[in-house]
Amino acid sequence: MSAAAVESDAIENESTLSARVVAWLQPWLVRIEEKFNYVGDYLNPIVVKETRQALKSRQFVFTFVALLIACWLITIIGVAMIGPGIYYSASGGMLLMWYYYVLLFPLAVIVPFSAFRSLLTEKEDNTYDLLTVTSLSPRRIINGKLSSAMIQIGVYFSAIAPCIAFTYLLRGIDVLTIALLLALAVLGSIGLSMVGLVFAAAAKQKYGQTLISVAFVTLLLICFSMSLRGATTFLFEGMQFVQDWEFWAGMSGILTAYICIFASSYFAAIAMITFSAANRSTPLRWTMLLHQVCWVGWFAFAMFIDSFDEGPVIGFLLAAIYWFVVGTLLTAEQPIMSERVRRALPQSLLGRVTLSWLAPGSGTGFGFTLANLTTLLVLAVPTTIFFGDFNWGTGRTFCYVAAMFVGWAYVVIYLGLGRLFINFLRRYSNISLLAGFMVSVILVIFGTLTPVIIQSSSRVWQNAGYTWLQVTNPFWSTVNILENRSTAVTLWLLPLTLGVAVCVILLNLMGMARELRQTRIALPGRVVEDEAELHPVVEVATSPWDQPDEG
Amino acid sequence: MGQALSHPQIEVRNLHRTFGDTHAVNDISFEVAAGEVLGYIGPNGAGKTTSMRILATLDEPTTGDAFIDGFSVVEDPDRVRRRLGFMPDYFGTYANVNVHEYLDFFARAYGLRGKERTDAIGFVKDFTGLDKLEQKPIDGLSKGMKQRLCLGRTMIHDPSVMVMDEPAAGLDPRARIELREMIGRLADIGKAVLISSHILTELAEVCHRVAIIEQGQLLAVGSVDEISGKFETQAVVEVRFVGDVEAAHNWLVSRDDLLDVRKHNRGVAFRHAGDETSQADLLKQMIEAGLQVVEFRCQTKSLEDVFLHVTQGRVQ
Repeated sequence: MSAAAVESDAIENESTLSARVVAWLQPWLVRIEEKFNYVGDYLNPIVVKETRQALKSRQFVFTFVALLIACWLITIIGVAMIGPGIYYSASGGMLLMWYYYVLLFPLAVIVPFSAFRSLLTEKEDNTYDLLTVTSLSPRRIINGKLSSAMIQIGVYFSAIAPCIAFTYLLRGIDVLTIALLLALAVLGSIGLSMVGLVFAAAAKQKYGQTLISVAFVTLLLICFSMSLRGATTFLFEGMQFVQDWEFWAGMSGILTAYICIFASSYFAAIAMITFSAANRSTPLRWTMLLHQVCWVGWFAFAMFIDSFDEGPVIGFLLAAIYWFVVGTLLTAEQPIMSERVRRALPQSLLGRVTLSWLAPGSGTGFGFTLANLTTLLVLAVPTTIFFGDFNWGTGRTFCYVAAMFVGWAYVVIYLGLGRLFINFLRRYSNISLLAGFMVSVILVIFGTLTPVIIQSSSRVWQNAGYTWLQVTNPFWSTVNILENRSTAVTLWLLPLTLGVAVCVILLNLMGMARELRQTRIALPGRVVEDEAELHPVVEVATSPWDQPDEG
Repeated sequence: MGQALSHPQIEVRNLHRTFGDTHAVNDISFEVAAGEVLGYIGPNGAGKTTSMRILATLDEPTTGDAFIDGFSVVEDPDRVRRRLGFMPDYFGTYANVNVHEYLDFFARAYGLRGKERTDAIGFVKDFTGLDKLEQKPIDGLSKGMKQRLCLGRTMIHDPSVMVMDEPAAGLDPRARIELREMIGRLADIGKAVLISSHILTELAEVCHRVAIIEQGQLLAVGSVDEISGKFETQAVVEVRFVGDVEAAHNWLVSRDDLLDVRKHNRGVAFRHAGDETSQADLLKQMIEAGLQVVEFRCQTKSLEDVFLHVTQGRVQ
């Protein structure tokens, strides 16, 4: 046999072998593709579309390549600078810092801005309407946009992962620190992307979109510079505290705040793109309850660790400001419940008593705020008395208790009056949620600034300190009591504000009752038919008599 | 969907929509049945797009309601969306996406999975003639092709109702004819179609009925003949004779039931107040009177005539 023939046989055998391998692999490959297709069917359509778009977009390719080049440069320059010391010195921390800086830019700026632009571009390019009329729910739209941002984060991470692993090999940095830094970067990026989606959902008009874009970019750049500083401090100074339980308590506190803000942003973004007949309020009210529980929990923990007697009053007054802000939004809701919301109202007595406050409406919103604030008061007052030495009319503890009651009363008065005023205006014009919010805020500003301006422009009262003129000023009045400047003032301001607050509650009672009296209505016949078609009830045999006849 | 429907596919009830002082839609009510094409016509700013956006659940009425397949657009927009295909007067395309990916995205967005999605995309590509362009980027498509793609997107989930706002705008004559044929086929397969257009000749050929709107108010609904019959009680009749036209003219002038009799080419034209039966009687009497009639034609009103007659060109 000639050499050429042997070579020809070898090639033939080789091709036959490869053909055999391909033939053996083919069914497996087909099966794998089928599995991928099956999984792909259940992926969010927006994720599929945006991943396809991103892979073809210049912005993504440019950022990814720039990130890789930056990592290579850092590696080459870093190794060159360390020189022979690479074998014995602990230089991982320094290199990690630089890699982290490179990673932070896409994570803190590019990814959140892409998420923001992704939703905003839908509005600018007229695709948002097309998206809205599909079967995608607002929740799935937000989930899709957020998931796309998370995929981008994953891709950037995959680019930098070998470099991060390299820093560990260089010593001077432990796995826990690396994991903590990366976790903070990921959570920060997801959180900023969520905020970006809220901003984009809020941008309705063209001029508003430009303004919001500028504001968001500024916010991102601030966050980026803060995270650079934070990462440097943590890497070189904070690592020593990792052993302390206070460090982990602080991290848990930050995580709790993150979850609370994230949940609010998530449901706010969904609410902003949901049609008005749907229940947009209840999920947000649940998150407010979550905030309340976390706030109380962390303050209780702080009091348990370090029983400082100002704790409850600080906690209560900060919470009162929070409840005023969210209360203005809740009391600005439309006082009419849509038929769709009424179809899902609780029916049982227990359900109606406990869950009706979570139903949308300005009256239920006022009641919900009042209930939460009163709960806080009920918790904070006994705690203050327990930790302090309470003497009626005198002493610091009395002032703290009085300040909490006065703070409670002011929130109730301003929210209640704001609600009544908004409902009065609604008789003559259509007042939106934002306009209603502004009405309540302006009312507080008016009540605060007017007496200050009058007093400061009067020769008689200019230097008189706190006077009865300031009775509408919630801030000066509360601080005046808190600092125990005048017991006489406290003794007339406390019953006065409480009395007015009770009157305001009584004035709002009718409206609240009207909303709470709403009962569930039946589903329209066509909806029942559709539900039966979508979710057919499978009859299950529950007794031998239910079995079908076999004869 | 196989059984007879007890409700119209589109039902608009006393719809109002105001923007500040402007009453964009003012008490509009009409219905569209399955398999019917209703032309929605009116001058610019008449309220067509506003009412179509309300039907598409993209806007909300100030008062009143509209129903798609029996579901309220206010209370159950999610159920409406599953049954409605909306084609707005703009394209709405994505960057870095080709024809197949675009249709695939909307098929997924409507909840189609697996073979169902593949079949739907295949059907739509075939229906709109986009099968040869499936890998082409959307940015590179002509206007006519983009319009086809938008029609494809509108029908990807096999909706029972289609609302199309100016689908023929900017298309060349061939593309218009093709679009008209496609709309006709949609009606043939049982879809209720509401279509607005400024090109009235296009609408006249494809629509079963028309609704004329001006300043937010519905002026007339019905077939072109019904509307023209409502507004024009007298028909213009043209008759052509062989021989002495003068004698025929004199005979017609002598009759009391005819108005505005005048000579017209080799014949006579006049206005007649009666229906088709009385027109037949008149023709019979003319022949009996010895007039040699070779053509007896009752002028029909075009959609343009009806539109100009009904509307007054008012804008708000």
